Amino acid sequence: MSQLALVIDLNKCVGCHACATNCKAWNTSGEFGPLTDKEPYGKQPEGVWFNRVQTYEVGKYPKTEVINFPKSCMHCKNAPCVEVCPTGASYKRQEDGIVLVNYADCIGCKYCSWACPYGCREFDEHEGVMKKCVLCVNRIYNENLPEEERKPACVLACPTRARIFGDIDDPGSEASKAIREKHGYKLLPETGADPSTHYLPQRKIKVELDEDELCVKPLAIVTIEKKITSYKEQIIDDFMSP
Amino acid sequence: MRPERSLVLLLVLAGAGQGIFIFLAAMGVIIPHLMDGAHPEVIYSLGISSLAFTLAGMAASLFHLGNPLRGWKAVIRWQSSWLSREALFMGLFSGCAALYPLVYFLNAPYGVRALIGIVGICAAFALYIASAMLYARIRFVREWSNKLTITNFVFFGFTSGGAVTYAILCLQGVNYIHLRGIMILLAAGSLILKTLAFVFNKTVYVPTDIKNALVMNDPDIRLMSTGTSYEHYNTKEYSSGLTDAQVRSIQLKSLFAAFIIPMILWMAMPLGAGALGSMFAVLAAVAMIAGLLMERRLFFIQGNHLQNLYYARFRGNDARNPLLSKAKKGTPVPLK
Ligand code: SF4
Ligand code: SF4
Ligand code: SF4
Repeated sequence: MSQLALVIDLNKCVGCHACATNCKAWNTSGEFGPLTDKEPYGKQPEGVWFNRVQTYEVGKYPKTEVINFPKSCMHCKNAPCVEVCPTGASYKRQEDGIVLVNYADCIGCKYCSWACPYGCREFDEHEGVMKKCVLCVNRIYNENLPEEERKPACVLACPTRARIFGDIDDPGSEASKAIREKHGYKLLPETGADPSTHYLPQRKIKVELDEDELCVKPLAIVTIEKKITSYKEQIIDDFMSP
Repeated sequence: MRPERSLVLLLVLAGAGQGIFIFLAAMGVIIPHLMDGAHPEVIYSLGISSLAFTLAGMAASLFHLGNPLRGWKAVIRWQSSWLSREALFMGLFSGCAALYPLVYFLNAPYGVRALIGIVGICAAFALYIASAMLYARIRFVREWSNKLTITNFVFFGFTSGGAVTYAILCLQGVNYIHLRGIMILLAAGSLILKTLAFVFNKTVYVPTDIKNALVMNDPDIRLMSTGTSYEHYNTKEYSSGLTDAQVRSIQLKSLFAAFIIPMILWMAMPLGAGALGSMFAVLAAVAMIAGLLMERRLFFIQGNHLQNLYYARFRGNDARNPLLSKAKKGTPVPLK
């Protein structure tokens, strides 16, 4: 048995939304599309996305950290969304553990989205069916793509390599290694859904620079407490004044 | 959760339809001499209203589906899905409800009538349970996944069916005094059950919060951005957007309309006085159906889905009312 999944390194994610946009670009034109939009250029744009990036702030000022948090289907091992589907449209593949929706069978009852504890399913009002991350099943086995591109679109798009794709049941995979060595964890473990997606924790930023090491002193040195230690006021646009 | 009109209508109308059938068939089985003696209009009007309520509920439910034309596929996974079982029992029940007046019309022997009646009653109860389990199995909405969901689905459906039955009987000039007593007791029972459900919703303690959702151990976690410039499925489907005050007001109105007003009307109704008595009974049935529409709406509105944690919309442990402090001391309700 294998279980393909994503491992998302929160320490590297900069919240650029590249994964989300590339996901939408690849999947909207592929067999799992379209990812319909309503009023995309209007004041109230709405639409289906397989992957969304949220931003949280943790801690009290001034000791706060920003957490960028991408979330897509976790391809749960014990997927509650699959068991409730009345038509069998939602299913989990035996061979690689990917959870998919067969659009041709889906009646759009939305029951699966109620059963998902993570809110990872989105109803497409235009098509009347339920949609969700497909773990780019049409890329990872796609022989028309060069070998190095047989990865999820979001993984390829990520500029900081915060997304790792692999078989979490294979202890030798890059994904399993990352989970093991970087303290990977699952969201809401108490739901019993046993999500396959793992997250790697954000770490503290260490400043390893001593003031003595500096050849030229910068105008300002910001310590980790975000206090400005030395600052000489300069009016940089002086030469622009008449 | 978002209260979808089609589902509210399905639950109230089909629930009442099942209730009417249970009363009709039970009377046909238990007191056949009285029913045979009754004007055939009584049986037809009850039978047809049961079918009409059920079909209206079913028709409303189709508006919930994204692909109503494929709706029949819902019966496929009956081994695992309660929604599938609901669809199956719905089919079985509406079949019985359609056949029942027909066998009377065809003057079928008592055995046949009783058989269809009993199968129909069993299907109606199975349908109540399946509809309730559909919600009770969603363990990430604690307001749904508890035993009161099941008792209330059965009780409210049965009681509203009884109220409509009683009104129809009175209109036909048949005033079973026993039925009045039974209805008052049923409404009182329903009132107690719904009040218990409101108390449960108010005090239930879900042992999780945004810390678990993100698996970050910091007491201070704030959502800064949902990543989108407007609402989307996750922010719309799982919440109603109503304020606590609005919810409280619906709560009170629903209790009055669904249970208290009908009880008062039944108690106050003059016995034997034909038209006036019927008016009381009809008003009671109308008030109950209207009240239950509000109550079912509230059932969705008060459902607080776990995924709301990610959108800072979880009516969390801290955002709850003063009763919470008591609830916190109690045993946490496990999600599994
Ligand atoms: S994250 Fe939700 S949609 Fe994805 S497999 Fe798990 S329960 Fe199903
Ligand atoms: S919306 Fe589609 S996939 Fe989801 S439970 Fe209903 S039929 Fe199954
Ligand atoms: S694996 Fe594919 S479908 Fe899933 S979030 Fe990434 S790009 Fe989107």
